[in-house]
Amino acid sequence: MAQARVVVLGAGVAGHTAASFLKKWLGSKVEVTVVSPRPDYNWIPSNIWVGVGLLQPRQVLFPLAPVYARHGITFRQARALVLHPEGAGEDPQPFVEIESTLPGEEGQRSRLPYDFLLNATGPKLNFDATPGLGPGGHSLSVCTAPHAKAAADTFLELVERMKRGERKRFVVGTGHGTCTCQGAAFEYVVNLEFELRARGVRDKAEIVYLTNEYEVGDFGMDAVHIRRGGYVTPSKVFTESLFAERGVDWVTRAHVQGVEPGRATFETLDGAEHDITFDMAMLLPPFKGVGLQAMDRLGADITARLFAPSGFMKVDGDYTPKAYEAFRSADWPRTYQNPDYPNLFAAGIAFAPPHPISRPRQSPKGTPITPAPPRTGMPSAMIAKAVAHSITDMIQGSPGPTRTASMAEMGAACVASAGNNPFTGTAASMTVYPIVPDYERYPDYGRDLRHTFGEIGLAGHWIKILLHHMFLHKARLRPFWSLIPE
Amino acid sequence: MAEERLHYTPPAVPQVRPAFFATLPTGPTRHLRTSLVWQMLRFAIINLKMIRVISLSHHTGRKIRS
Repeated sequence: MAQARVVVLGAGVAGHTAASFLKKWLGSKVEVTVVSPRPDYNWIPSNIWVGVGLLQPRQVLFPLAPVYARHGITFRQARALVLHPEGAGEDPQPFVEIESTLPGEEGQRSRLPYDFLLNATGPKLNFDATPGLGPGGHSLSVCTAPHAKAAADTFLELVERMKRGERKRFVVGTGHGTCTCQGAAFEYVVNLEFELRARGVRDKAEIVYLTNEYEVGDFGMDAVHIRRGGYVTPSKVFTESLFAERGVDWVTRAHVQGVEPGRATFETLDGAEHDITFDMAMLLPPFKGVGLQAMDRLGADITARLFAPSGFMKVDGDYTPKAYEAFRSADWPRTYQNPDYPNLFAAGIAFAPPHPISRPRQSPKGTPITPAPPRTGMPSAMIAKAVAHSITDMIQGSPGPTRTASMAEMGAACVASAGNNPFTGTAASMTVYPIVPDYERYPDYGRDLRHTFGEIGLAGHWIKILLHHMFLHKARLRPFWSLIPE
Repeated sequence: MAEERLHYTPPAVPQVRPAFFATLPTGPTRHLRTSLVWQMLRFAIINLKMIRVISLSHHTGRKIRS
């Protein structure tokens, strides 16, 4: 068979994992092309430490082109614009239209033909959903390394002013009622508090955690229950305890309506409207799809057929709208293959979840205040590896996908830093199994309590440091990279 | 017309803070969190627990049986 062409859109955890394994498993039988608008790989979990000035961006970034060149993967610095899964006109060859972002070639468009395409673009950081939100507005973010650096600059400037006796208020959390990634906001707020203590200015700071979660510790996963101290305890108890111990106040069930200089307005689930003033606000944006379009061979727009209204790609999940009580773990995708085009897959944040994991809620005014489901990190990489396996087997003759990686059948291990110091730092170590609760198998809490646990301590911090170095080693495709689990 | 918004003000006394109703660790619990010997043991145990969940999850990336 001629060399198969696989195009991977995105070079984050999912895209990079899939591209690396495809090339490793198929070697010269495949031409793997990775398309990413940015030249660097970013180990996003460590952006938290960039955001408080403990790491520099270069410690969480590295250029992709040399790594891919060494491993025979083609890299195109470009953004994907339009999918043509049926080809165009008389030519049935599928292709994707891309637009270069390479300095000196910005805006140049070209076509990339493919035999298989994996959409792993990740999200668009949708700061526009909330007026004034984000680095272009009046709040900060840690979603990218440059954003985190800007947050650190502001943080360190405020620390200097607090050393001169000024009092400051920090607001950290989610910038919209439908945000996900509360884990990142949680990590940032406790690291910020730890650093204020380490720098001797904690008594000058007031810290407020502002979140769209119904209770803190929901994390978009409908909370996690663990056995501890003779009780089955929800994650709310542990999260509140962590905040209380650190003097962090919290406001839950909040949809941020707007951010102005030094002031955020928000609505809570009971319909009441509030405002809060701040000296520094780190508020995460909601996510949406990157805006990929799709066209059939006649040039008709089929975007709505391939993508959910959120802009994420539909795969083999059950997208029938249903009530929370009717949510089933079986609704979640297993192979991540698009139902209309068998050579199209999506992985990581780019696939459309069939529904939230947390119970959907809205205020009396109709404002949805529901965390979106998380699908970053470990699940993202495991899904990508399963898809890479399926594509490998399909290239070698299998009629369809051969591997599954349902979030309702996999667990996740997560370490949330709560302070970076080799002797006094701590982190919350957590495992959940499965990620999407399965109330048919585990009627009480939806999860297997034998494999769902959490604890805080210095050991977690050591693990976090270990993971930082291990995963950067793996992402750089250095010797034995493929032995490091996802 | 003025906005009818509730302005967030820091709680004036501890008993009206949300933290007042939270569980707090006792001294020995806090001590164990950064005790080197105890944490070395926990490091091993947590890693084993994580490896268990990771191995369970890798089983889900199994081949589809025809």
